[in-house]
Amino acid sequence: VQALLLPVGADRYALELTAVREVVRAPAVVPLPGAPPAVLGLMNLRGEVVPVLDTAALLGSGRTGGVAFAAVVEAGGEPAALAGDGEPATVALDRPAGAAERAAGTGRFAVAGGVATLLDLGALLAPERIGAP
Amino acid sequence: VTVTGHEDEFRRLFEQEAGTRLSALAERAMELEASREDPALVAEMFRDAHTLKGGAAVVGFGEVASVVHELEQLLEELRSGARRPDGALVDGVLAAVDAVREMVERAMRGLGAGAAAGAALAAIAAARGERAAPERPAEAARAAGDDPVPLRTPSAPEGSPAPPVALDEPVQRRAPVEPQAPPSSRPDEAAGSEPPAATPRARPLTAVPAAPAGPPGRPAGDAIPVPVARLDELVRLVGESAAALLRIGGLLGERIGDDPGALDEYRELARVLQELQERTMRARMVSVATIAGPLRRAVRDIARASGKQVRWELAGEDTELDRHVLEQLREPLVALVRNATDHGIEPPAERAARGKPAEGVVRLHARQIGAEVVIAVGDDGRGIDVERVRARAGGRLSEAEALEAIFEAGLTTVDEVSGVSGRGVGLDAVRTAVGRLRGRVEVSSRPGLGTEFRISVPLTLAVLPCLLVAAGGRRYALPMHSTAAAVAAPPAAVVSVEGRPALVADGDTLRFTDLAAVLGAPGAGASPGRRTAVIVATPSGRHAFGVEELVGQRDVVVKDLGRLLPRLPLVAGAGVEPDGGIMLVLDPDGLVAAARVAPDTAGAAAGAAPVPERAPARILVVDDTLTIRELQRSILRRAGYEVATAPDGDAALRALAERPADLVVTDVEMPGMDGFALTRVIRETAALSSTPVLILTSRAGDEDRRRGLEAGADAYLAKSGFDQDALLAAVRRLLGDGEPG
Repeated sequence: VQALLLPVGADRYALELTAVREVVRAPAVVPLPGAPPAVLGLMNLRGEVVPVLDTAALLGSGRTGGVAFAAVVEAGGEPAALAGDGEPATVALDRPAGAAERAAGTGRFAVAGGVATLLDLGALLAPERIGAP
Repeated sequence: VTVTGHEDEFRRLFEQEAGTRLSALAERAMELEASREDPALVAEMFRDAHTLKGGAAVVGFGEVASVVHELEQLLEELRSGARRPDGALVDGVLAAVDAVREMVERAMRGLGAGAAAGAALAAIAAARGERAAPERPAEAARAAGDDPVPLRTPSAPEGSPAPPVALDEPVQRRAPVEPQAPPSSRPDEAAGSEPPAATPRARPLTAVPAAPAGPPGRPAGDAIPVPVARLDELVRLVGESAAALLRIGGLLGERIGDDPGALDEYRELARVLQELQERTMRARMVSVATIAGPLRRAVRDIARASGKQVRWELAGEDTELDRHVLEQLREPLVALVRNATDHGIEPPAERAARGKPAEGVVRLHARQIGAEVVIAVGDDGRGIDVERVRARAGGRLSEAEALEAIFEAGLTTVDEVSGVSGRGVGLDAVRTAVGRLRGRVEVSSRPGLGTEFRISVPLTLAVLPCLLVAAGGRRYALPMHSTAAAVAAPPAAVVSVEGRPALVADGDTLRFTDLAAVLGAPGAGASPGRRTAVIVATPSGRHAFGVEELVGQRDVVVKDLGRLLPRLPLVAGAGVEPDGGIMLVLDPDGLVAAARVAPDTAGAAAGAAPVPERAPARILVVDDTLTIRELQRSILRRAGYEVATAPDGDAALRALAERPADLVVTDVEMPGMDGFALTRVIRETAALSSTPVLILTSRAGDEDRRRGLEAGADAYLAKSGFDQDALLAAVRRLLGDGEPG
């Protein structure tokens, strides 16, 4: 599987490349008053308003430091930007390294310099994970 | 020309026309029932049926043609006076219309008429007081006019194709059948040409852009039917063009180091694109009349079925709103008129006992108020039984709470589901549907006198006129329709009342909250000297919000936040700014609700307004909208000018007579003397003729610009693109470049 490797804190998460539209470096994020903590705000992607989500908060593992990079993905036809704090890279996931523990993870894979968890976008971006205001 | 080879195209055209004609027939039948004898109406109905029959025959829908022929016979009896337009006759016409509609739909899918033909013939026969006895084909053909159009009887084998016929013939023969429409009348008006009535009454459902006269495929006049998907595509493309322009602007700035706003060509393109966007949005608007037919039908059918006499009143049906919004309102409105007829209006005996006229009234009134359309559905029936709602809800509710409770799921005051209105959507679904449209529904009821539901929805979900404000160092948009006013609010104006910060304005004391505090913005409450308060008016009350700055007024193309995010109480949507930033559009109801529960912040921060040292230039601002007037006053004052205001042209002239101004900034559309007239008077008055005039208007067309400049204005600024920088630049230029004073 070709995947985008998104560094979040000390961890690395992988997103299936087919679901990734593009990567934006340091987007301007407008905070949304009254939004749940996992919602960092909105960004403008060439005229389209896209919500920016805190990847770590969605996974239930703390907060992402900032939005150094945003991976714009699509889930059910709706765009969302996932915050990462290191530059993403494209990798091939061909060395399985066990099952994932987090509910939104579908498996672990060995990648250069560590292990990445492949994420299931549908589960990651479910309403109960994003939360209510 | 023969049909062969173009069947599909002709059939689609026929289907479209049939839909319009059948709606018109039903509408006119109901109109006839309400107003009894009206030869013109009968003639129109006859014409509808005749044209339908001809069209059906041309495209080879023989079964449809022969059923419509029967309907035409029935109408002929009406026309000759042999038959009276009573309820039974109208029942027959409506049932026949329904059945023919189904037959056309089936025929389009290549199916035979099925049970629909029999149903139609039975309905017509019942209306004629006969037993169902389909006519022989020869008779049908003869009666169809002298057209040599082969018709098939309902008993002909289903689905067998009709022989090709010459198109030109029936077309030419049919033309003289339309004698009523005067040559000058536009096709969409011809059908609604009854004399204006004192009371609001229904108009035939012909506002749809389809040709009432002429053969299918040749819409008369200047209206053509356009598939909605094409309009939606246009809106999308226009939106993309606007976004592309912004990117080009950004690139120009980056690569050439030039401010694109300084380039005439760039500004011109931006202006044209904005106008294009507005016009395209406008093209998607449809009138309330387009959904009035089914509503009236629902009222009529329920009234007939329950033995009630009910008059249908319709007013404001020309009110336009976004097609999508109107479509979403159709079901809620049907539910409301059904409820009104079934539960609201009492049976005649009960009405008589209460001393009310036997005939009840169910009315629908649509009206545009600012950026909202309000649609009220009312009846003069028994009203809502508040006691009963209290009993059902099982609590001690105030009257207002009880009325609110009827919108909750599962609460009904009717003991048995009555067969007619018991199905379909309930009031909870009405409220949900209206809420999805960013609208609200309210109810008022007076026992024994009637009930009224008021649905308020935004004109369009796409464009929202907004007031732009700065709070907590960020800019936000507040929907204009809920901002009542903007007033100066120096620290001294914010006082503590009953332990809470409040602002005295217009003889009223309003609670005052920092907007930044409600939004949880960093540095809230720390910024010095609130200078302005925006008064937000919502159904739950008025509230003053302190802002750092009024930035401008602009139409924001509002995008929703996508389905991934939950609904946020404080944010209604977001727009993309010309500079690529994102402008949040705040939700007034949510703001007021949040401000009521937020911890109180003292508005008493210190800070003094900068005082200009020299005598400043004096500017007269003329606008009939208080908020805009105050917005401009605030911007110009902050820039150091002395500002006077006037609400219309006459008041402006009085103010100028009292004390001249160095510049007049005026709106165009105002009650009484408008901006063009004001400009002309200023030019023609010796003492004022050298005063520069800046026209500021929401009308962005070239024609208006030309009229403004012809009237003698020195500059013209479109409000839709108006912000403080543009205003100040124009003002400085007209005052001769210099700083204030």
